Amino acid sequence: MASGLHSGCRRGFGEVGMFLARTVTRAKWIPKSEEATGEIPADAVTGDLRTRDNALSFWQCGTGTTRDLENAVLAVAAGRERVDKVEIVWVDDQELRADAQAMVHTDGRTPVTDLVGLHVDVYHLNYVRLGQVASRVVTAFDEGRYCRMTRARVRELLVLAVKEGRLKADDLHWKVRDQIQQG
Amino acid sequence: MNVESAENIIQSAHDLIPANFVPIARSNESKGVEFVSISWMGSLSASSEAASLQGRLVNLWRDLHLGPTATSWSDTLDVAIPSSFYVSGFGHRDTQVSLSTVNGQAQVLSHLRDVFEVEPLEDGIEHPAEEIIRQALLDSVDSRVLKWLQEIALDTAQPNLSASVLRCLGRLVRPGTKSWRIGLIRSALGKGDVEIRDAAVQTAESWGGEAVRRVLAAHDEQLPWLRDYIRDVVEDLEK
Repeated sequence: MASGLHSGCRRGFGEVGMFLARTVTRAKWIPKSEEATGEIPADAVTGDLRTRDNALSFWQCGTGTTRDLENAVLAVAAGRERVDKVEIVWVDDQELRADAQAMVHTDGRTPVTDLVGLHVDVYHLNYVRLGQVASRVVTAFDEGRYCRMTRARVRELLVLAVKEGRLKADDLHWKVRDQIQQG
Repeated sequence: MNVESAENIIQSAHDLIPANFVPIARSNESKGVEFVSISWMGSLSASSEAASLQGRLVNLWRDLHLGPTATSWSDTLDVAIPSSFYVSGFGHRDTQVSLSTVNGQAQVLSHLRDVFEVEPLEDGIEHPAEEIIRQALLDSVDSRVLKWLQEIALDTAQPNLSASVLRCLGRLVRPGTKSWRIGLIRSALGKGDVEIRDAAVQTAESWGGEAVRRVLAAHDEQLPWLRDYIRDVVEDLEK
């Protein structure tokens, strides 16, 4: 297992590709009944794939190396109001292109300056295309492209980013700043 | 509070309403939120009658909340006092008096349900439900508050709400006693619903401590991703 990632972060892929990561809540994607096996629960779509202006936010995570995934986690965590676990799933951008999804680079809302440019919007989503994204998320789960980083590990990433100068503590939400400055 | 109690309160108010008033609306909901409300319509010929009526209702409210027969917090009633009375002309009915009784526990549950419907709980983002729960714990001197928060957090009939409440409890700085916290996590880990078990691990991660670590370590989780997360949290708590 690559250093920096807990055993809970499995890469599970072999081919070179470009991946796009997004936060998810894994528990929402588990069907509630045996009869629903293979189906995607509605709460997963309405809860985890909430669009804004018919667009979903993703972060490029290269080929899904440990460093790439940690950067995606860092980009998300640094923009939050408190230090919490981070769960991400990463989908293959070739799969999204095969679904004719529209994608565009937009500046990400993160105080980690070198990660701002990694943000991607999948836009012009509608009922059908959103369902396709959901299917790709399920595929990602099945292929092990899911990671959950504990709060302690997320805090370590934030502390390291501040030490490396990638992130200014003053640019963090005050609660996040307090939590990383505590021992 | 049961509906019968609410009915008794309504009757007490009704006894104060002038005889020429008639009930015009009544609501008796029980979607896990027990409340009874009723309105009366009638006419008052003078503002002094309106003031007198309002005073009698205020006295009733005060007796219910503060009087010798006032019950504990979980049975607290909220009696809506009309903020204004319309003084009508003779024979013209335009004065309305409304009264509702709401179980305090049910009221907070209703508030929590409402805020979670508007905005789901998200990692890393503060949520209004945290303040609702925090205030409920601060306002009450009754230990049953923790009991019914626990009931909500372990209710598998509404797992999304339960998991959200459980995670919000995890965001508080160690509510209740240590044994209460351990019992809550242990019970939640034993639930069949994965959202509740997942929320239990997240709450355990927030609260930390050796006793919590032991509870997590002793849990036999079947879902691989959740088992991995538990292992990671146990590892973190060992440090």
